[in-house]
Amino acid sequence: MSRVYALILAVAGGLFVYLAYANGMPSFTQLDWPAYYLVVAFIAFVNAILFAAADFVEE
Amino acid sequence: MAGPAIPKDFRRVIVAASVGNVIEWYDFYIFGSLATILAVKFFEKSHPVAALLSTVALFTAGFLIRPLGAFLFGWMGDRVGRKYTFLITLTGMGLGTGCIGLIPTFEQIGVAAAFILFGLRMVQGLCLGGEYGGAITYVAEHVSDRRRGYYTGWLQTSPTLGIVVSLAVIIATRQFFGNAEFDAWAWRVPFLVSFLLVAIAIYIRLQLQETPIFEQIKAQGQTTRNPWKEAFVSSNIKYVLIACIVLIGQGVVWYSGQFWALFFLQQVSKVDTLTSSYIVGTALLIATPTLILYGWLSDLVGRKAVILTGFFLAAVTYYPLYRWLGEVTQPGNINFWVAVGIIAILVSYVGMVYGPVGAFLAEFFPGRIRYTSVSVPYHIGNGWGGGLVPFITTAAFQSTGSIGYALIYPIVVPAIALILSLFLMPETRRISIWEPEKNAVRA
Repeated sequence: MSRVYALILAVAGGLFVYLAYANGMPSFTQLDWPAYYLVVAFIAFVNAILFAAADFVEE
Repeated sequence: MAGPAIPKDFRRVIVAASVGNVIEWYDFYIFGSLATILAVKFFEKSHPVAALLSTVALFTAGFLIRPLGAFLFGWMGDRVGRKYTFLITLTGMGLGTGCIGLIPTFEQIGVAAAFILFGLRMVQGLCLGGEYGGAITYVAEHVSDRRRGYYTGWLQTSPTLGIVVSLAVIIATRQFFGNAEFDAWAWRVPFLVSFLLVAIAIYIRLQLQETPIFEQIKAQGQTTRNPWKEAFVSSNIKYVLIACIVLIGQGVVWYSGQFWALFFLQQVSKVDTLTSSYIVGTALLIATPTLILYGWLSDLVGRKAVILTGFFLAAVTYYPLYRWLGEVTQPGNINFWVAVGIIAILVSYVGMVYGPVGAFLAEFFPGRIRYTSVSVPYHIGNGWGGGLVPFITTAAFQSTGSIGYALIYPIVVPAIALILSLFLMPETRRISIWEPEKNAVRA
């Protein structure tokens, strides 16, 4: 089950990366919508790694 | 001699403990949610003593007194038993809250009204200090070692649901009676509702038995003679201090993600009370299951990995998320669902740090002194560290007008907790509380 959640989160992260670039290049000097989308993508990817880690932790 | 066995009705135990806990938190937060009305009804700002009391009572006293309640009721819980102790705290909380709905106002009896309110708030804080440690110990001592994170995760939803219930009761009462009636007298109704809710919770909890683990400790004559000495004047103090570090980080994330989000909408973005309550209430309902989800995940990857990831994400992303929240909640131009989504993310951080922490605490301390050892760090961390978030962040924002300065405390504290916990916090997932003799050392 954790693998399914990891996959969903990774896809959601990818979607937000796409949204960020579809709304213009994110700026590193000021916060705007593309940057916010990248923040959400980052959160989703970190969570995806956490859920995926369940497969690698010994019982 | 055979060890204690997991009771078949443990799910009923979880529900009963959680219902009582939701009501307990409802009682605590209804006071905060109606703080502005209480200030008008019970304090005369031109009276210096009353003004001082209003500041202390409304913002800090209820939080600061909680560790004292943890000391007092923790002692009782480890000496007398978990069940009876958290029945007392529940009753005290209900009476303390309900009576606020009955006391005369400043106009009727003068400054005595402020003193009575202050006293009742202290009763609330004391009883809450004894409640959580009892509930988490009670649930943890009824479920299997392998799924403790998942089952205690259900109990961990109760403070969040307590806020939701308090917001819902206030909205319903305000809409039913109208604003004028509510401000005149109907603000008492949410407090009086507590009498009914607590009576139901007491009835449910009376059906429960003592935990099998405490029964065994008692039967073997291993009950501690002095929980305070054993918990705080022994090598156990090291573990209490480590737990305090983790809990302070957790408490700050908890209050920054839920309470300050509400304060932010009302004080920074100037969103009206009803709309801000709807936004936060909806986000809380959407994201509350993450407490169970991350509790479950902690059974698989460990408590430490999940909690520390929550600290990391909070420290790294609070600033952009709150900036974004400010942009989508401009006066007259509120993007409701994006605001809900942002706050849901903030609440999911609460799920990461708070979902597994009950299991961590229960596994971290031995059964003889579990009630005391769980309660005190929790209320120091959550009550002091977390309870000061609305006060510090609001004061920082009022004095500087900058979201960046306001977020220093919510960002720096989880960052420090992350670094310290990385080195000090042990992984407790494999610690058995049913067969403690099989455990290695705690850290």
